[in-house]
Amino acid sequence: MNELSLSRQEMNCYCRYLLGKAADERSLQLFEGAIQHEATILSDDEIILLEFMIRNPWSIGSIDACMGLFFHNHRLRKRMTIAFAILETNPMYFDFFRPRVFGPTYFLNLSVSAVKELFMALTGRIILLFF
Amino acid sequence: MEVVDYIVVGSGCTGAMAAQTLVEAGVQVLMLDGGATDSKYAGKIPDKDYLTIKRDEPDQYEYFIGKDFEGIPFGQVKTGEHLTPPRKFMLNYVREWMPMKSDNFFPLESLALGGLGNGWGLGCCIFSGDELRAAGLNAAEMQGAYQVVGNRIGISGSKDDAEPYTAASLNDLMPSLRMDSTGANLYQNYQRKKSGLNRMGFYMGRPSLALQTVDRNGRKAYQYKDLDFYCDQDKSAYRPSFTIDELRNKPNFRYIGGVVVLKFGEDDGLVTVTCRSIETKEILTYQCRKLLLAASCLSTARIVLRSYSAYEVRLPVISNPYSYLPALQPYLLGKDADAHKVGFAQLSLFYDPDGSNMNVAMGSIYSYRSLMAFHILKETPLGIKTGFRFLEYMMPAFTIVGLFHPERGSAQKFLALHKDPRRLTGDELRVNYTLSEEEDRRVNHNEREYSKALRSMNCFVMKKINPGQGSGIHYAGTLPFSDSNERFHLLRNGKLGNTQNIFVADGSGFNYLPAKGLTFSLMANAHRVALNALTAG
Repeated sequence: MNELSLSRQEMNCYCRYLLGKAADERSLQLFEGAIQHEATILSDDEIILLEFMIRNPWSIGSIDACMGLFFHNHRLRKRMTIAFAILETNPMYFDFFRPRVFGPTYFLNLSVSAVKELFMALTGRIILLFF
Repeated sequence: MEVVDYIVVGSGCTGAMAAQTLVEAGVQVLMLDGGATDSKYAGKIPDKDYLTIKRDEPDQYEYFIGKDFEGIPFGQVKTGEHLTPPRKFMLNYVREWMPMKSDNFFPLESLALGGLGNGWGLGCCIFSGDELRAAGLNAAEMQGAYQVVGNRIGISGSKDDAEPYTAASLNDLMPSLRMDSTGANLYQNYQRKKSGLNRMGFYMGRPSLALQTVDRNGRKAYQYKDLDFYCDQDKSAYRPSFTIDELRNKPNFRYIGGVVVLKFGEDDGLVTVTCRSIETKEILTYQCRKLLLAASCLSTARIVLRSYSAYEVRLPVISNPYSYLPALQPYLLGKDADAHKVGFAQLSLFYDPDGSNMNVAMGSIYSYRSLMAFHILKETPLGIKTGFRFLEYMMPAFTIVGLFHPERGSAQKFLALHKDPRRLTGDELRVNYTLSEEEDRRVNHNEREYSKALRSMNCFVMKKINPGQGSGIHYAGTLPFSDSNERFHLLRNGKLGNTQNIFVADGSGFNYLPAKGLTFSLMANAHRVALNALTAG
């Protein structure tokens, strides 16, 4: 995969993971521009991990949770944050980011999510052992 | 060469106030300034509120995260990184023209038109008599100056428990801005627990802000658009550039931007000021009868030290230790977020344990929305996706307390200018800033007491963040006030010791920094020094 097409696939992958839909052309272009920053350029090992994530979208949740808990400054986490910032400032996805009111049971949902997140983080840690 | 009556160096809050006082007195004033302006985002932000922009505007990424993505902090977060893209112009030219080296002091400096005033949080506090005396200022002179400056910039506020610490005692106050649910809920809890909190030494009230809540003097009332970190569309928030724009219409005022003042020299009753053009690097000179330095205390120190070729001479420096406490109000979790949030401080919480109005700590309380989710998400110990699920639930309850601590100088807080021919100015400022163990203990004690007080108001601190010395953006004390006419000191009237016609109108003279918002006192002092310069010799 060349670097250009890889970054477009990467953004698409993040967008599907975060919002459940493919990224629009503009977000793809913006992501390509944004990741030129020195602090977000991937090493060879990180590119291999990224290619794995793209080929195996089921792994992204675990790797995301793992980076949040154990590898806060991982370049792929930085790149996912950039993707999030680009999506957050795109009116096409406003409904996803608009302020919402939550019912009283939502806290229970979040508690379950937190336990699930821990499990995912541990799974992600195992995946990362191979990279 | 033309000789003007007065040269004012710098167009920030102090330069603007000093210049206005001089211009109103009818003398000829020339202002020399770095003059950086925002050519990238000016006029780009539509006249709509934050949520409407988020919903409708396809180009919003330009000003929210930056055309060059400069709003996304990629690496280690330094002082100034938090500035939104439309405010980043405040940092233009600083690295090249204000070189600084330090392992433990990270200040914010500006060469912009309006200086650091472009990002001022607008908090206005009046120092108590004891605080003014400790700072080396004359309380009677300052009282009058506070009122003059208050009338010029327009202040909103309320007479409440915080009145002794804010500027609410001034005449002609406008009503405080409306609180959003984050502020309102906390204030309600304070009212319920007030007597216990007062016994602990805590007093809460509405901050006095240089923010208009009614239409006045060509500036509009605050419109609750929640774009306070991005633009000054309706001019409700005071910025020194408004004053400079008005002065530019006066025949006795001239503004020259795009220059960095290097040094001054006195000869035969005249002051010669040497500058360098930012664009052409050409050396330029101007002459005046009196010079007012209002370049902010770090830059003023550079100019004074360079003028005397005083390299490696140590000067003291003071900066308020600053920390912030992200907190949650559980009652607001998942609740309906207000349509109209407020970016400015909504409440002030003062800690005055002995009731003396001296050595008071100040907490400013903010809600959070328009700086967007991604800034917080990257700090959470969760994945981005789950983190956002938590964050959107927590957002209405999210409360940020910015905490300032009072500060005095010490032998471990100093700066010196070192020669460095590689630099455009030929030198570099080096700063050491270390708190003593006792000072560290005091800061930690204050943070613990604030956490306790907030907890009693059902607001729970999640973390304490100390962004490092200098991050509070309050600097002073490099040329301390003194009664003796010595070099590197200021006389009480603001005149630089051992000079005839050089005055300093910024905070360089302050011997003590109360934790209360400093800018209003700096502006009042600038007015006072300008009056003294008009009457001196």
